[in-house]
Amino acid sequence: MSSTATSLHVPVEAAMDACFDAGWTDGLPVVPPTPDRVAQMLGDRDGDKVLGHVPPAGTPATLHKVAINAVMAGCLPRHFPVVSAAMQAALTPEFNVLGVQATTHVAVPMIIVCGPIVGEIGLNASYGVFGPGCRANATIGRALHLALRNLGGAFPGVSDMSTFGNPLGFAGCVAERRSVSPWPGFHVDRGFEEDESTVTVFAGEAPKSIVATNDVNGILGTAVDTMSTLGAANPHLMGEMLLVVGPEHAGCLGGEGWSRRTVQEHLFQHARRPVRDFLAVHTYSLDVWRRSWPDWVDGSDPDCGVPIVEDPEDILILVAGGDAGRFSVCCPGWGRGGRAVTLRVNDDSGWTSTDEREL
Amino acid sequence: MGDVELLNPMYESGHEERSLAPPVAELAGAWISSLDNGKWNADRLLEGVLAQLVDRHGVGVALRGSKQHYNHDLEPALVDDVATVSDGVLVAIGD
Repeated sequence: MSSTATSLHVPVEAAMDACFDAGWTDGLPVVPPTPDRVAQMLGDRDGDKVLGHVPPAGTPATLHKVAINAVMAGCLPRHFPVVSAAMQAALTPEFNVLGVQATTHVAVPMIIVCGPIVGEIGLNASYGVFGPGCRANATIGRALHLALRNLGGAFPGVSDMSTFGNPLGFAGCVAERRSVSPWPGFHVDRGFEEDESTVTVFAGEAPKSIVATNDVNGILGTAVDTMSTLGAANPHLMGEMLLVVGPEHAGCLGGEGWSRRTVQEHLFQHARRPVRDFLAVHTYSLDVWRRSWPDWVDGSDPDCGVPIVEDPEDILILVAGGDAGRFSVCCPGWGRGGRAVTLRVNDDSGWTSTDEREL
Repeated sequence: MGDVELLNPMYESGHEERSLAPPVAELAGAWISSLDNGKWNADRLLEGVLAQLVDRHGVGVALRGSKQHYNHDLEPALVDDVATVSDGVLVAIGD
């Protein structure tokens, strides 16, 4: 079978295997992308609309192609506005999806959904938010990765050179649990209104556990330790880091008067490693580090503290997770090559956007 | 049961195809540039290979380029400069 043909014609009972044989899947079975299913996914939208070109192959990401991948991922039509917005965000130059798709690092794009659409399409923001069990989260995250893979040609060991890959590469989609957050919406800090629905793409590692008792010192002290590990890319390369604060921790911090901004400031000031720690491990040379570290870091001073990001706002703080559990998690980023991108989701099936950043 | 049509989720024939540049036919007298990815040792590796190409094969070194940061793409202007002045390009990644 040729993967360059517009379509394949196969016996019904062979459809699943045909998708595997054509190299279209991520290793899991897919929903066979029949014309009827794709038409339902696309609705009244213009299937020829190009969201961008997907590196490294440079294939145009038409809405039609994205819809085919959304069908294969198992999405419902009501999920498609989030999928297409996420695809548009991933193709925004600031995100640098070429680097993310081709890097040897373990970072992969993950999706963060905020606003009313979280409830409207049944996204899970509670127990198991990063894990399996919810169709919306699993299929939306999977659809983005299938589309990036199939249109960008990001195949492991060919042009996706990630040494290990990342389980979030199957499906990385979380939602904000706004109802238990003591702070404004995640997207509000990124320039949107509370009642708007947004999608953010962030390239990062799988979540790392932050286990801490429910007092401010315990939570922030443990977060500082977890977030400043030398094994992450951040201390070497800066970039961004995602901190997902669990409801118990969020309630404690908010109850003690901590805002998102003061938490960011505290972590920026304290999640640091002295220069001597870098010299001890010799991961890279000082010349390489100096190109990434802020100018004020004195690489000749062994006691100088090196932050994990250049600016407190580069620590992205989301509230999500189940009610019980003294846990938060952090997802280190992949360096300074790209930045998280947030776009508005517009659930208008007519898709009459006049703003290219608005879907 | 009959057949079912499955739509291709990948690229299709018809979009712009690109091919690799042809190899340098003759090293003697060729102008060679180097591009490193900005990681540790990439520049050293390239300098060593360039020196051998100059000594053994009589190439000229046209331009030495480096990514500003290894997470970033090469600057388009640098790519254009290299394409303008070079018969061939050496690339290396270090780490």
